[in-house]
Amino acid sequence: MGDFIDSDDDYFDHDSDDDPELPEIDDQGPNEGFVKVITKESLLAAQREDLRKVMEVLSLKEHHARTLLIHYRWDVDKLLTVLVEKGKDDLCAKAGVTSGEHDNFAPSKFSSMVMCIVCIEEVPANEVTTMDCGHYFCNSCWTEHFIVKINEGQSKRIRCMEHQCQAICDEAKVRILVNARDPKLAEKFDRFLLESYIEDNRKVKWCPSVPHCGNAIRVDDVELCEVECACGLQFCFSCSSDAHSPCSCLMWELWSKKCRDDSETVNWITVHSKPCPKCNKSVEKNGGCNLVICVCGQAFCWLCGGATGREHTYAGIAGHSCGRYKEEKEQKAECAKRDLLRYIHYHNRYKAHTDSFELETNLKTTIQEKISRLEERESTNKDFSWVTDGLYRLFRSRRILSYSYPFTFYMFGDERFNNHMTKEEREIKKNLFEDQQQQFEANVEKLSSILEEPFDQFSEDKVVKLRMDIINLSTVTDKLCEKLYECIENDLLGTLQWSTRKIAPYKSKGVDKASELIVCTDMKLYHTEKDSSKDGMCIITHMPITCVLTLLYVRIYFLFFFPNIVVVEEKLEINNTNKSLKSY
Amino acid sequence: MANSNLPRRIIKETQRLLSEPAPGISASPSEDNMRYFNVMILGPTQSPYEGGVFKLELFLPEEYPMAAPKVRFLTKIYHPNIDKLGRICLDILKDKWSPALQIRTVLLSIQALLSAPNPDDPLSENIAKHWKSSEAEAVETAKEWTRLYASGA
Ligand SMILES: [Zn+2]
Ligand SMILES: [Zn+2]
Ligand SMILES: [Zn+2]
Ligand SMILES: [Zn+2]
Ligand SMILES: [Zn+2]
Ligand SMILES: [Zn+2]
Ligand SMILES: [Zn+2]
Repeated sequence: MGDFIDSDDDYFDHDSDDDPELPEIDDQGPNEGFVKVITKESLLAAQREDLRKVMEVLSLKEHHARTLLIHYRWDVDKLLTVLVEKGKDDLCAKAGVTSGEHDNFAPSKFSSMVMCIVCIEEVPANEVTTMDCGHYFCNSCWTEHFIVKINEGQSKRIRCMEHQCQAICDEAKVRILVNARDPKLAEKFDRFLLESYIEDNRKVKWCPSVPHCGNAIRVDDVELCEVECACGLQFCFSCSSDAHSPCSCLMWELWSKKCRDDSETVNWITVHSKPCPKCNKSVEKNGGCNLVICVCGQAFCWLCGGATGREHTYAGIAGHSCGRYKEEKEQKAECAKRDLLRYIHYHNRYKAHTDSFELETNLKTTIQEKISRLEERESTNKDFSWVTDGLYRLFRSRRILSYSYPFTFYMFGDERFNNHMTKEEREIKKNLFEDQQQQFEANVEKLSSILEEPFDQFSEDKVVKLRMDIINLSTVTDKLCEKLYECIENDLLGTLQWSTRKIAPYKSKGVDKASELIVCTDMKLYHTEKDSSKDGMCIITHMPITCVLTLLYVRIYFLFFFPNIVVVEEKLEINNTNKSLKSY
Repeated sequence: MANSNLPRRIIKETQRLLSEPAPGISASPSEDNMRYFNVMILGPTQSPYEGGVFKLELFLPEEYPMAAPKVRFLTKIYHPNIDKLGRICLDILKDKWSPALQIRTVLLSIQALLSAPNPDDPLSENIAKHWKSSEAEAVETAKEWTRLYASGA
C-alpha cells in the first residue's frame, strides 16, 4: 500500500517546476513550455528575436522585417510558410514591402542645394533624407510628417510623403529625426512599435487583469486554451475573460450577460417576495405554506402568484390548483417563469460553488499554518505535498464544477446548443451528464471537508490515514472530472457545430502556467543551443499542414538557422519518440 | 492672427495660384484669413456640369501640408461622390493625401471628378443608385441642377 502511495506522489507532483532534479516532468504537460509570459522587460527582446529571424532569413532591413511581421500578425511560422510556398517577392509584395533601391531619384551628390517639393524650398543637400524608395525631402518636412503620423497613432506604418508611394519609412530615420525635435515623442514612437508586438500578434495577448499586471502572454498554439499569467490570473486565450471551461466562450458570454441582467430579478425572487395580484405591492413569504396574504387582505398562491381564497391546508389551497385550468396567457407566463426558475436553479448552484471557491482560498492559509505546526513535531514524514496537492485538486475541481452549471443550463435548455438532439435524446444525455456531475460534486465536497480536518492535532497514525484518504480522493476526483469532460466533449458537444463546440480541454495538472520568456540579446549561439530545439518541436507538433510540407518547411527552417542539419533532425526524432512514449 | 506666421509654402502656393491659374479654376485667399480660399470651378466640357460655375471653399488646416486641405462644394450639385452638404469623396483628401500634393493638384482632381463620376465609391447612396440604374436619366438631373443652381448668376 505504501508503495502505491509513493508512486502516486509523482503523479500529483504538479509543482515539479520547483524541483531541479526532475526537469523531465516539465515536458510532460501537454502545453508546458509553450506558454510564455512577456513582461515589460522581456517584450523588447521577444520582439527583437522575431525581427532578427526575419531579417536574417530574408536579409531585410529592420523596418521591412517589421512591416512584414505586422502584416503576418507576428506569426513567424506563417511568414516562413508563405516564403517557402510563394517566394520572397510575393511575400514582400503582399505586405507592401518594396525593397528595391532607387538610387536614381536620390539627390545628386554634386549639387549642394536641392529642392524639397513639400516646403518648396531650396535646401542644402546634407539636410535632406532619402528613404529606401528613393524619395527625398528636407529633414524639417519629414519631421513634421512623422510627428503628425505618430500623433495619429500610425507609428506602425508611416508611409513615404510622395504621392502614391507605398513605401514604409525607415524607423531608424524616423527615430533620429523625431528625437532631434521632440525626444518624448520619439519614446512614444518606440513604445508604439514595441506594443505592436502584442497588439498585432495573433499569438500574444495582454493579460486581462485589473489593475493590469503589465504582462502579456504568448502561446504557441492559438487553438482554444486557458492560461495562467505570472500574476495568477487564469484566463481564456480566446475571449480574454476569466477561465471558463467547460463552458464554451459563447456559453460564458451569454451566462455573464444573463447574470448581470437578471441579478435584480434573481435577488428579488430569492429574498422571497412576490407582487400581490390585487395591489401589486411586494409581499414577503413568512410562513411555511404556500398561501400568502398581502396587507391589503388579498390571499394568493405563492407558487403561481394567482389570487385565491384563504381556506387551505399545507398540501393545497381550497378551490385553487396551479395546474388545473389555465388560459393560454397564463400558460405563457408559466413558461417564462419556468425558464426563470430553471435559471435560478442553475445560478444558485453556480453561485454556491463560486462562493465555496472563495471561502476555500482561505483554506490555503490555515492549511499552511497546520503544516508548519506539524513540521515542528518529531515525525518521520516531512513531506506534506499531499495536503497542498489535495488542496490544489480541490481548487481546480471547484472551479470546473461551478462552470459546469452554466454549461448544463445552456446545453440542455438553449436552442443554440441542442439543435441536433431530439427531446428524448436530450433528456437521456442530461440525466447521464447530471449523474456524473453529481458524483463529481459529491467527491469535491468530501475532499473539501477532509481538507478542513484539524490534522495538525492528529496522531501520527491518523495523519497517515488522512494522507491516504486525501490522495485517493484526489485521484478519484481527478478521474471523475476527466470523465465529465469526456462526456462533454464526446457525447454532448460532439454533435454541435464547430464554432459553438470548442471548449478548453481538461488538464489534470491545471491551466497552463506561463513560464518566463527567456530571450537572449546575443542571439546566435544561444538560439542554436537552447531555444531552437523547442521551436522545432513546436513546429512539428503544431503545424497544421501535411507531413511532406512540414518536413520541407522544417528543413528550410533549419537550413537557415542551423549550420548542421543532421544533428537537428536527430534531435527532432528524439523529441518525437519521447512524445510517443509519454503518451502511454 | 492666422496670417502672422503663415508657412512659406502656403505663400508660394497662393502666389502661383494667382499668377498662373489652372484652366477653369480660380482660387483666391480670403482677406482676413490666408488659410481660407474662395474657389470657383467651371463645369468641364462634355460633362453634365458644362456651363456651370461651382463655388467651393477650401481651408488649409494647421498641419497643412502634412494634413490634407478641407474642401467643400458650396453650390448644390448632383454627383454620386458629393453629398448634400457638399462634402467630396476623393481619396487624396483622405487617406491617400500626400504632403507632396498641392492646392492646385487637389482642385484639378476635383475638376476631374466632375468629368468622371465614380458611382462605385459613392458618398451619396441615392444618387449613386440612380447613376447605376439609369445613367442617362441621372445625367439629365445633373444637367438640370447645373442649370438651376450653377448658372453663375
Ligand atoms: Zn521640405
Ligand atoms: Zn517614396
Ligand atoms: Zn497578469
Ligand atoms: Zn473564452
Ligand atoms: Zn395587496
Ligand atoms: Zn397557511
Ligand atoms: Zn397556484
